[in-house]
Amino acid sequence: MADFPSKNIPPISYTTFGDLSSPYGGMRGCGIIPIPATVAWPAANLAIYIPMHIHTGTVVRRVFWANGSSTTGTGAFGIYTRSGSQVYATASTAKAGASALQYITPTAFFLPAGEYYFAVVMSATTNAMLGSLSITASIGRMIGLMQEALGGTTLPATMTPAQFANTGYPLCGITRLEA
Amino acid sequence: MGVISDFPVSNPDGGSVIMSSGMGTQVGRSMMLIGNTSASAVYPSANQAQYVPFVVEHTVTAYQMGVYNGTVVSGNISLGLYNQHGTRLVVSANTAQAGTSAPQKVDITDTVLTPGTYYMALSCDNVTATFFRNTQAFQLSIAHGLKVQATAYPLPATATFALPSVSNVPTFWVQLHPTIL
Repeated sequence: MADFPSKNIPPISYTTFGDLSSPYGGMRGCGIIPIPATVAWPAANLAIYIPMHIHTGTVVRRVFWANGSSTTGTGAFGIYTRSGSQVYATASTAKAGASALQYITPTAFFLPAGEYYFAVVMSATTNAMLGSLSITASIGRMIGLMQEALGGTTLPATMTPAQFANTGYPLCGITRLEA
Repeated sequence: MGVISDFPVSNPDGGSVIMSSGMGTQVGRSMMLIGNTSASAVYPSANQAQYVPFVVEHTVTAYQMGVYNGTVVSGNISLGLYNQHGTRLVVSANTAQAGTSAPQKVDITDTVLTPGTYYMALSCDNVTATFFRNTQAFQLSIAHGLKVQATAYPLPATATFALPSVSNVPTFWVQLHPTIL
């Protein structure tokens, strides 16, 4: 019976600017429409945690963040459960590709439906990310962002998040496409 | 043993729905276009195809497609649907763009879409033609799976996907109705 056509088709990607899966939909509901542009990363080695709703389980074949016009320094992307355990994280990686998505290809894995945090950390600040400054500290708290000051750009095995206290919202995500 | 609800279903809401290049519907989801208020703008590149992914969650039949023309119309358009691997499923006749600042519907052969991932496609043979569109960072288009192809008018039998480099996605759509299996 499980072979019958399913309604559960995952989208091509889950991104932090996706209406159905990220806080973006809630922001739009509040009349806030962040538009990605080159902006500063709030603080060196600061991890930002973005709550994500993975409504349909998906194979993760690539993960990405979006660089701003500067590729100085390193970055990393990760996925955490709502209880803060790391599901997957890239290594600390030299940034490459100005004003472009930077993809990292893990060994493909299945991410079940559920509630997660996407995490991004960057070592440099100036023009470091493609994201939005529409998200202030108070709005960030409202939509569930959290942060963690790290000593570098290696994401921890377990989140120790703090209240979001900066301005900024990065574009990042996962995709089931190989290219 | 499954239950009756496991069996294929038609769109339970009934009626005709639209899957557009900028929004999802109750039968699935397409990429989301964000940014400015939609405005008229010239087509990004002559003979370039725009492929916008969408997901169908119920078996449906695609029966018509359309574009939202801008303030100037010119030349011809081609509309079609592709599967996830870039194989063309259906294509419209080459159609003269007609009707300024108005939607233009184009019939396609009825095509059943089972649950899965598809691309709706638009190609235009000139850059005088205008369409309503949203601008958004092209990186966001890439993140959400939009593809393009140069020298693709009329739409080819097999798509050769490339990544967009400009932030201009015309508003176009496919109209669907439920399919009774």
